Amino acid sequence: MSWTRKLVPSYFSGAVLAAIGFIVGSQYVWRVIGGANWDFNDPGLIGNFLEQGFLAGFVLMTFGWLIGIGAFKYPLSWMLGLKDPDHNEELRLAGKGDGIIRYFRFTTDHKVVGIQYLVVTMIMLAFGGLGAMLIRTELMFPGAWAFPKETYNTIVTMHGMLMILTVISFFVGPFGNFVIPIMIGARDMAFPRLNALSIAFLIIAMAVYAFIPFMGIGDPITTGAGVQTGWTVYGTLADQTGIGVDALAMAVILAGISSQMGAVNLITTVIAMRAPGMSYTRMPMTVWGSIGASILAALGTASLTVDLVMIISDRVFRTSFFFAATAGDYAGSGYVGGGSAWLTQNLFWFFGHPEVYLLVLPAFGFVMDMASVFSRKPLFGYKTAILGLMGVVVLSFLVWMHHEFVSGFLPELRGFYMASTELISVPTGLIFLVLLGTMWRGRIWMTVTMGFVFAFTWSFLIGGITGIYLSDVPADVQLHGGMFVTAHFHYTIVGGALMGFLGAVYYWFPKMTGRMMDEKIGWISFWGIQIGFNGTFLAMFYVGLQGMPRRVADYSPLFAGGNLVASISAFVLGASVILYFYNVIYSWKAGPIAEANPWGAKTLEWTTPTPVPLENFGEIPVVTSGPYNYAEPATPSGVPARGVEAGPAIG
Amino acid sequence: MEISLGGQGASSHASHIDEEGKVRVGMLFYVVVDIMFALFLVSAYVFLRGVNVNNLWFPDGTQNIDLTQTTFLTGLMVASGLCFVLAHWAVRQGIGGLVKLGITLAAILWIVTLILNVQYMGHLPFTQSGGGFASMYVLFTAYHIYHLLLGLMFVIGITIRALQGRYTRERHMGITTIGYYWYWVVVFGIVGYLLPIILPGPMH
Ligand code: HEM
Ligand SMILES: [Cu+2]
Repeated sequence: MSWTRKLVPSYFSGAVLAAIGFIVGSQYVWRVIGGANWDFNDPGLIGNFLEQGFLAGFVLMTFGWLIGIGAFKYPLSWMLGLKDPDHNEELRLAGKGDGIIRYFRFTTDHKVVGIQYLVVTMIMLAFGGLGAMLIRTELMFPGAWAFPKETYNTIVTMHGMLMILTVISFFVGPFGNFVIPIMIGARDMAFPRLNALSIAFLIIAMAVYAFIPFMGIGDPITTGAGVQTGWTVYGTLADQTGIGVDALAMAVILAGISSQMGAVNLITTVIAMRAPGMSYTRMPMTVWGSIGASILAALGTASLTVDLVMIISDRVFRTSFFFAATAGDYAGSGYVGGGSAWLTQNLFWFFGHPEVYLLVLPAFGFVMDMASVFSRKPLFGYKTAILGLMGVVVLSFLVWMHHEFVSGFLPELRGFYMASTELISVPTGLIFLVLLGTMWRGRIWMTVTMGFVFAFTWSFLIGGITGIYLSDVPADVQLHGGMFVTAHFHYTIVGGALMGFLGAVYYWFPKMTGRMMDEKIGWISFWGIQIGFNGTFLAMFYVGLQGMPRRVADYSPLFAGGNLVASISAFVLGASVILYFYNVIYSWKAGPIAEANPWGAKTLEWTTPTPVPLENFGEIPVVTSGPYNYAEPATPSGVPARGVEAGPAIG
Repeated sequence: MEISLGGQGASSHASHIDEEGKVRVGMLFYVVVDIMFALFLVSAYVFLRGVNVNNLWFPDGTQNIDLTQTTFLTGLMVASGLCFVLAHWAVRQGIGGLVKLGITLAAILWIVTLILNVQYMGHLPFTQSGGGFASMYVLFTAYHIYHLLLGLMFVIGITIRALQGRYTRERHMGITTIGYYWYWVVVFGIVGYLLPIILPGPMH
């Protein structure tokens, strides 16, 4: 194959067309349309040609990227009624016979997409982590000593939203794509092209996101570069902040499209592509958890998209969804008003609360699977676990107003939302029951993965219980807007979702890369992460109870002690995560070669050879029993099962 | 997990859903995602009207929309949907000529609706900055136009295939699945039409 055929189409040609698209779009607005009317003294709060140009640039940039990577080829040929591609062409698109270049292309093989997701999410995690370190640097001492306050606010916003996007992509991205089709005995995802498209959307979303800190520098009207709203981008604040918020809104809309596509694809795959005998009650919990998350993504994300579309349109087209002023107030600005601040809060949190469970549901599933593998016991209460997961899915749509207890919106409903929020701890409790019941009296094999399972159990417990504090209205009136809330959701997201993810990387690494991760570095980074994490956020609970507000660069010396502890611990956490990353990179290159089933697990993905061939199975397997039968004699190429048949184990 | 290779019925799937079913499930879920989007738009409309901040939902002196025009546009959309229903029925009966006719008519009506809607949006009696109702109404119209634009791909594709005679009584998955999208866009058109009638802009 010649070089041009290898590089066109690929991510490289996509990047070139994306750059051209951005330049054409923005320059067209700035020079051609805006040229004559350029007016920095616009009396409006916002909404000048500067940001319209950026927006046009982002839209064309996205189209350029999609054209450049060849995403339109199939839809166009379908539209024109041309011949459908045959199996050989499909295989070529899946990367058959291509070397490393298939990772830099629009490739349909779900395993390639899984690896692409793994790398992209890891990079996102690294940048988000960098933001966290900058935040903790600023908060190490009282006084805004490290950054100007506007810069600090921008860092907080960018860190928050980037991490949320990262964790949303963590599970359905790398593992949902790589592992789940093999787990249910399928040859690929239901819609391989949609799959390749979803990672492409995530990449371009991140490219747009990278514009945020650079937009609006030197613009005298807006309040400097960046976005100062916090990750919740309440429309009322977004209407007044720097123009970076346009990039943020665009990026999150694109990432939302990406996760909706991933969700639809995953749900369809599980409904339609299971191998013979793989009934719903034989699916591993990983699949169930990811399905729960996909349902939340499919149903909830639209609410955020509507919110963001309204934000952009308020700023750029001067609509008044969130703009409440009376006509006289902004005479001449083009605004009339009539919008509501509560609208943005409700739209955001109707997405926002299901979203926090979207972050953690797959982790529930993963952790239950891993607990069963390393306790060498069947899952304790399979149906109970499904009930727990689905209970969370349903309830999480009924609690969003616990984020608005002090907003003044319908105070009569606070009692209801308090009760419904506390109700969620019931299905969550079921999951804990299953998890503990599975480990109980098992013969625990203490791998690093299992370490992360324990860490999950510990920190999610704290996260959940502090959530109950917050759902209590009188307590929340005190704690809302403070560091206690920040500590709560870091215990659930870092302590829950991230621990599950780090454990899962360690667990599936042999299947994904063909090599084992290093056990010793693994344990060192594990303990560093635990000490750093708990130190940071326990200290944050403490300053939160003392009354320290969140999202401020400067604070009273009263809170100095707790913040110093939190910052030092955070640096330990950061260093340990770097060590974890080093382990991933080092082991990927030089780790010991893995066998097909190093953990002796029972699920389908471990029955395939490593590396997993294109199309996964030579012949589609017929499944004849559940995923956790450790009493069975042996799995193909697996180590013999331990634990259950060995009689009651002690310890 | 016990597995057997090449055992009983290795060719049949547990899910008993074939290639066609896969596309059908996928399209259904896509439409569900789209319905959620519309649901939030409608909720926002009802919400802003309900709170009517500063009495600026429909500021004094704002001109209302012209119902005869919207009735006409919605009528076109419904007619397009009906032609599609006809084609869908015909393909199940195996009446090839009627399939071609139905789909072509439905497609032409779709495209005409698109053009007229763009024109309609350009000539509204208010601008998008004219208060809560005006903002919501323009967003609704824009969303409808987005539907019609995106659907253009389906419309062209399905028309070409129908005219090539590729849909038969046995194989017409394209018509079924694109039908989901088609009907949903018609339904959204009706919702967008009825909402300002049931809960009008002017509050008195
Ligand atoms: C038993 C379960 C939980 C309960 C009862 C609960 C309760 C609450 C409440 C009442 C708040 C509002 C605090 C305030 O702003 O005043 C809150 C905030 C939050 N929770 Fe939870 N929560 C639970 C689990 C989770 C989980 C599993 C996650 C994520 C994986 C999560 C993530 C968050 C986030 C991100 C916020 C803060 C949002 C913000 O203001 O920026 N929570 N939680
Ligand atoms: Cu919540």
